[in-house]
Formats: sequence, C-alpha cells, structure tokens
Amino acid sequence: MHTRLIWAVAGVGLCSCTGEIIGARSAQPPVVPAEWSVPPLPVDCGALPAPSVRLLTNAEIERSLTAAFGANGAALPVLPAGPRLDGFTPNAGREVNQLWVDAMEEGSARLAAAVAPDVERGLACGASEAEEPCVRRALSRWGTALYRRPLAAVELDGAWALYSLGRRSDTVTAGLQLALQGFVGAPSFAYRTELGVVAGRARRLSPWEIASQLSFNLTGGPPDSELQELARSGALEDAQVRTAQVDRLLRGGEGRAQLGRFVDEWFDLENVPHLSRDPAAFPAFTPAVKERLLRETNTFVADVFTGDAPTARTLFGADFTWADDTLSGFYGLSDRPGAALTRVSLAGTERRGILAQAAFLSARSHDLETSPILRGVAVRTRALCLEPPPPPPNIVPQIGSPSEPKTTRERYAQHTSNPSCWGCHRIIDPPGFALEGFDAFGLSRTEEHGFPIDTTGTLIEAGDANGAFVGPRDFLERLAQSQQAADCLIEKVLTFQLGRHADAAGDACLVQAARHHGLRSGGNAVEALKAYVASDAFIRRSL
Amino acid sequence: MSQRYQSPSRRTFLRLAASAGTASLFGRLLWPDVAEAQTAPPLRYLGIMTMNGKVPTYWNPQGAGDAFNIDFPDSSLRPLQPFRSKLLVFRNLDLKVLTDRRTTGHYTGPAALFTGSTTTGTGNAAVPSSASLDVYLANRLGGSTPLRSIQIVTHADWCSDESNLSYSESGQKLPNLWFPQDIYTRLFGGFTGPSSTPAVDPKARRQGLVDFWLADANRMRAQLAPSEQRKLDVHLDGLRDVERRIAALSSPAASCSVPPAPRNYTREEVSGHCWGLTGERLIPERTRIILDVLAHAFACDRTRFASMLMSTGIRAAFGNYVTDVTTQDIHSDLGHRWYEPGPGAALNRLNVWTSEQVAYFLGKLQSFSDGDGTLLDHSIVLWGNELSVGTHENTDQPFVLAGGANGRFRTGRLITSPVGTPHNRLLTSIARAFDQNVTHFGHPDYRASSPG
Repeated sequence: MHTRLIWAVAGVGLCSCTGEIIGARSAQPPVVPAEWSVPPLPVDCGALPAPSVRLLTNAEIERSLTAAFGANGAALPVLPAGPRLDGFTPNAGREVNQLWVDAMEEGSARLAAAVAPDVERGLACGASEAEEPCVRRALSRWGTALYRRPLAAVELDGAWALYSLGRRSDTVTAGLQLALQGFVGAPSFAYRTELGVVAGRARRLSPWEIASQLSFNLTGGPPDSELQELARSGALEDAQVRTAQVDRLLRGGEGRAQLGRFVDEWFDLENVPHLSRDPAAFPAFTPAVKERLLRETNTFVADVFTGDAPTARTLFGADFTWADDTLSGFYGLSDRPGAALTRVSLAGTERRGILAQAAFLSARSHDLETSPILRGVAVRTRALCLEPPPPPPNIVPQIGSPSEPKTTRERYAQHTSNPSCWGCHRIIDPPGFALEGFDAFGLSRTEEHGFPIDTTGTLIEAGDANGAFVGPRDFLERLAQSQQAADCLIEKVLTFQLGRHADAAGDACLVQAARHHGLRSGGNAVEALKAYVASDAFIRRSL
Repeated sequence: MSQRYQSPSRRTFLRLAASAGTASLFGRLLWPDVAEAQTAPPLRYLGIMTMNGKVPTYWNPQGAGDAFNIDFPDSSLRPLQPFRSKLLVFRNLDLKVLTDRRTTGHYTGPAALFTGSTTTGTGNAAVPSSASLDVYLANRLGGSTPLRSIQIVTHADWCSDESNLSYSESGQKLPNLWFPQDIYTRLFGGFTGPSSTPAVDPKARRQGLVDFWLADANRMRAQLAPSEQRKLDVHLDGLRDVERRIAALSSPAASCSVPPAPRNYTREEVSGHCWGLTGERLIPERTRIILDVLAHAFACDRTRFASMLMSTGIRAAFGNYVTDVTTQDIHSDLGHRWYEPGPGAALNRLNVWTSEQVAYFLGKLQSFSDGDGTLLDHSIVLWGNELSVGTHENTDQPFVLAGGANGRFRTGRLITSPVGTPHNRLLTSIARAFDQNVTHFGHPDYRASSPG
C-alpha cells in the first residue's frame, strides 16, 4: 500500500555511504518502538545517482538575484510557475518553456538596467588601469557570484565580448548592463549542476556543486560566504563538515523559512492566507486570525525541526503549538502569551500536532462545512504516504446540504455506507471523522446542529497506524507514533531534497542509509537528512 | 553566431517537410470524403476546453449526418447555427485512453483531451506523456510567426491551477496566461504595425545575448547524458525562437489592424472563487476581450496555434456570470446532478453561454478577409470538454470542430462514429489536416486504422 517501493532493502556488499552520523546528539536516547523494523545499514551501494542539471525554482532564482544584487522586488524577473512534484516546487524534472525563456530575457534586461549603475560605481579601477583588465576583474567577480562557481576562460571571454558589444559607442554602464544581463539570463545561472568530473569509476562533484546542493536544498538560496569558503578550501569533501553545515543552515533564518516552505508545500497550505469564508457563518475567521495561521504552522515546524525531536511523533503529536494572544483566544486556550508568537501548551485539549492546526484544517474544508473526505485523503496521502484508490467513474456523492439537521459525518455516512462506496470510504474516511472534532475553520466542537459529533473510528490499511481511536487526540497520537508516519516523513524529506522520487537504482543506498539512521534515532528526520548528506550519493555521480 | 543545434522536433519537422509530398496518400484515412485543397493560406488552430460535461438531451444534435439539427429549443449548440455549414459535430468519441484504464475524471480529462495520451499521477498531478495538439503543431509549424503558440485562460479555478490543457512534448504542464493585458502584451507587445522599424542596435545587442546564452547552454548540454539533455534541448529551442524573432523584427508584418490594448485587470478581477466573486461577474467582459485579441492575433499572423480554457473549473464556482444561474457550486450542484431536471437545465445554460462565446469567435474570424476567403475558412476551432457528463464519464464526449479548415474536412455534418471510437482519431485527423504525416496522435495503441 506504500506509494513507492523506495524502501526496498538492498542486498549485500559494502559501501562508504554507511558511516556513522556525527553531530546532533539529542539530550535523551531516542525511543525506538520495538515493533519498528529498522533496515540494516546499506551494504551494496553499487549504483550512484546519475549526473543531472536542475532548473532553479522561481523562489530560488529570486533569492539568488537578491543575494547578488540586493535588488528590489520590482526589478526581479516574473517567471511562470513550474510543474510540482507531489506538491513540492523543487522539481528536478522541470523544464523551461517559451514563456519562461521570454520572461527571463525581459526580466534579466530590467534587472541589469536597474543594477548596472551600482555595479559601475563598484568597479574600483586602478588610477592608471586600462578599462579591459578592470572590467574583466568585475565581470569575473559577478559571474562567479551568479554562476556559483569560478568562470572558465571561455565564459569570461564571452562576457567581455558582450560588454564590448554594449560598450561600443556607448557608456561603460551600457556595457556592464549587457554583460550582467548575459549572466542573469544564462543557463549557468538558472540551472544548478550535479555533473562533477570523472574520477575513477564515478564522477566527483566539484566543491561548488556540493556547496550549491547543500545551500539550495536547505535554505532555498545560493551558498553564503561560509559555504563558499568551505568550497574554496575543499572541506566539503568531508562528511562531518557537511553534516555540521546541515545544523548551521537549518537554524538560520533562511533555513527556517525553507522548513516552512517544505511543510506548506507538503500539506498544500500556501493558499491559507487567501481562504475566504462567509463572515456570518464563521465570525471567528477574522483577518487577524487568518493572517496568523500560516505563521503559527511555520513557526511550529521550524521549532520542531530545529529542536531535540524532529520526528513525526512531534510533528503530528506535539502537545504544544505557537500562538499569541489572538491565536490563543481563537483556539480557546487559557494561556495569554502576549503579542508575539510563543510556544504554548495544548495539554488538556484534543489538539495535537500540525494536523490539528487551523491552517491544515481550514485548507481541507469546504467554504461552509468540513470535508471528512478531503481531510481523510490528505492525512492518508500526505501524512502517511498512502495512495487512496481513485474515485470510480459514474459514482458521484450526493452529500446533502450543510443546513440539514444532521452532523456532517451522518450526512457523509449516508452515501459512504452504500456497499459500492464503503469498500474505499472505510479506508479513506476515518481520519476525517476523527478530525470532525474541528470545524471548517479548525475550531474545536463537540456538536453540530445540536447533535453530538462522533469522532470515534478505526484506521485500517495504514500499516502500524491501524487501530481504533476515540477522538482527535487519540487518533493523532496513534498516527504520530507509527512507523508509517516516520517513514513517510523521511520519504518527504528526501523527495524535497532530491527534487525527484528516490526510486532510481542509484538511490537505493542513500534511501536505506537515511532510513536506517532516521528510524534508529526514533524517526529523527534530521538524522535521516544528515545520513543522506553524509553519503557518497551526495557528492558522487555515476559515470 | 554560435554553433547551430538542431533540436529533435526541428529535425523531425525537416524530415516531414521533405516527405510532405507523400501526405496525400494517407490524407483520406479517417473520413473518406475529406477534400484536399491544393494551395491555401496557412491554417490556424484553436483548442478550447470547457469542463463539467454536457447535458446530452440538450447538447446532442437531432437528426443525423448532413441533416443534423442544432436549432431546437434549449439546444446547447444553437448559438452556432449561423455557422452550421462550417461545423463538424461528433458523437461516440470516447477518451479511450482513460476509459480503457478506468482513469476517467476531472483531472485526467484535461491531460488526455488534446494529447490523446494516457496519464500518470493522481489528482491534480495527473499529466500526459506527450504534447497537446496545439503545442505539437506549433513546434513543427509555428516557426514563421512571432509566437509559436499561446495558452490562454479566460476563466478557471485560480486557487489550484489544476485545470491545464496544454502540455509540452515531455508532457509537462505549460503555464497559462490569465490577464487580458498579459495576453495582449504577449501577442502584440512591441508590435505597432507593419510600418515599425526597430533600431538596429538593440537588435545586435539582443543577438549578442542570445549567442552568449546559446553557447552556455550548448556547453552545459555537452556534459549531459541524453535523458538530461532534453532539458537543455527545450531551453535551446526557446532561445532559438528568441533569435528567430530578432531576425524577423525588421521584416514587414502582414497587413492587419492592432486591437486596442485592454485595461489592466487586477488579480481580484481575474480571480476564481477563492478570492471572491468580483472575478466571476467580469467573466463575460474578459472573455470577449480575450477572444477579440486572439482573433486579431490570427489575422495579424502573430501566432497560428492557441489553446483556451473556458471553465470555472471543478471547485465551488457560482455561475452567476450567466443570467439566472444561481448555483453556489457548478461542479457539485450542477455537474454531478446533470441528470436532474433543474441542475441539468442550469448546466445547459452555462453550455449555451459557452456556445455563444465560440460563435462570437467564429464571427470574428469570419470578419477578417484572408487570402481567397475569410480567416474562418482557414481555421480549425476544436471545442471539447474534460468529461462527457459530470458524473466523471468520458464516453460520447462533446466535440465540435468549427471552421473551414482549408477545405480539408467536408463540414456541415454530424459524424456518428461506432460506439467507443477513440478520440485520438479526431486529433490525428486534425494533425493530418496540417500535413503531418502521422497515423496516430497520442498513445500509439489508438491508431487511426485500428478497429473500435
């Protein structure tokens, strides 16, 4: 029932991608449930990932240009959205299209025009220095920054030729503008490469490629000065150096933002700030609350992943969230933490983890009512990596109107109890029924139209998450403690990092190493991530 | 100038062009009474998709063959009656690529409709594995106009962008343009009519840039295995198109009138339901503006290939852009209940409205003279739907082909195929009307010559 068979246990052999992971020792020894099946360390890593190039996401391009030029938003290219991978914008398969190419030509022109005067002011030519060496020095610096690696001689010559073309019977600014547009619009800027150079029976990635991989994966932007320095010194060949960088990058502002992006895209929460609800039906859905929902979730997520226990157990089962006075009042909590988002306890409530936060609950509701099916499908596919059966043709639910004097569950049960529907809906619906304890906006409730809401049920076809539950908290804690959820979290982390499903032959080793370290540490997703970063698969490619 | 790279699609095109003389051997494969025109102005193509299906009693023409009748009360296609002689209406075409695999539905339908491909991925991640007809034709034939093709949305589900209809050769969703001003700028930006003479210097600079980028892309491509080279091939194709347009900057354009630029619509005005209702009320206005701009673009030969999504999609949408349709959720209240009298009648009124828009566009095409006739004589407008009926079925799809098609089709007919005929045949026939020497379009199992 697992979406992909990426966890296939490798056979025998040996490999250097199995090394112990250094760093991030949690204060307490990890709890590994006895029932979990932890795969052995991978032993035959034969195949490596294939060399590739990867088009930056629009956000990565924006970050890269902002890092290079500090450009204001108006001058940045406006690029069409790319196809996603399981909801994730990092998608190694993404290709450009004509609209992208044209938008990049236009956008790079606008940006270059905006920044060329500043670049010219920074030329710092010597008093008696000729134009060419001075300009070439600047072009080399800007090209290196934008390509995230030193330029080859032929590339610098090409940039100088562009400068000369722009400069011809015109100003230095015009020359710089054309050369800068050349860099910004070039494939070497828009794609990050994982090509390396042949070294024995594999390709060894350049330190610049390793730095970019670390940086874009973990921060959504280009390498910062520390990573650049480590690339220059060759230190990134060292697995311990790389895993130490994981800790550093995750904790920085951009790393925390990237963690938020990861979870927002995972659970399709990006539209939450734009959700509309009828103010008469949902008086608590004030702009002030709506504006805070994604911040709550993103702050919580960054807290979880940079804390002691970055696990599914915490993500889905935490008895705390982040709230200020407004959110705390909205949730009906007794704490009044003040004007800033603060960690607050959920003890004594039915609320646990991210799936009981209003961002997720309202994103998976209709305008006027909850949707047990949307919530059920989202929990199964996104939190547990289980693929639901497709809706059958020629069968369409007639749910009835929310104004009927019944609970939502009763209305849904009317159709899903039909034998032709129940076969699938008994699998899909239970998580949604558990979450019926929260309304279309995520507020706690125990009754609907005066009728008590039934939040009991039994989860089936969900591996070790299977079992009966008596309410949201019970359900969420069961889910949070399952290996199914722990494995799913590791799978999602790897998909987001790789920008593809880790199901090629060359991925088996890195997946198994990540699972071994992740599960053995109690489902610690950061340990899994470090295992991947430390592996040969991070720095080597197949021939 | 950098080293020339010939993309696979261009190579295919050249090979096809070299063998174009053989096309007529196969030209009569599908409908035996296809007429072959000797020479004609270039053919234009627009594929339109609406969603949530037809209501068969209203949509299906009465009568048969040449005697088909769409001029009856509440007929979905009645607005097209003035163009009856230029219509082909189809019955019994299935999205067999989906029905054979039990993968029918709101998400797979758009992926299969104009590609004829099977789909992979579930939910809104469903994608085909090959190009939609507009893109396929544009990649092979679109090189003599400033834009090979354009992908447009008049209205759709903004929140999720889950209703695509155009796909690249590798089956990736292509981005759509939503805003009238963006569509106008894309088609007519920097174009002030035949008399404009752009400065030479900007042209040289642009060419210098493109050469710089081509050299960079070629260096990168040279290091890649074939599977990864495709990414750079697509990029190189895009840069070559820029280059081609630079070269064409100073050549005179066809005599035509540039339409007035639309005003700037705001995000709220172009929105679907998740941003409020303002957008829905402006759907008729925006649709007309976009159809006007596109008709002018065909007339000015700015592009010859387009696709257009005209649907509120499958999330809750109110339908109040059509008078007296007051539902709060077209998809659930009307589409899913098409077989009930009230919802069926309301859904039909939306389909009639769409017919009116198609008729409006056909009328615009007819108003432009083109070669020996009108633009409509030299166009193919294919209007389809992601479902046949709103209960997630893909059998007996509603398809209308409109336009003179350079005489390639004997129009003015209802074509009733054997039950369960794959719609790939229709796509294949259109590709062949564009002189593409193909025996199938989309999935190879659904060849034109295969039975059933």
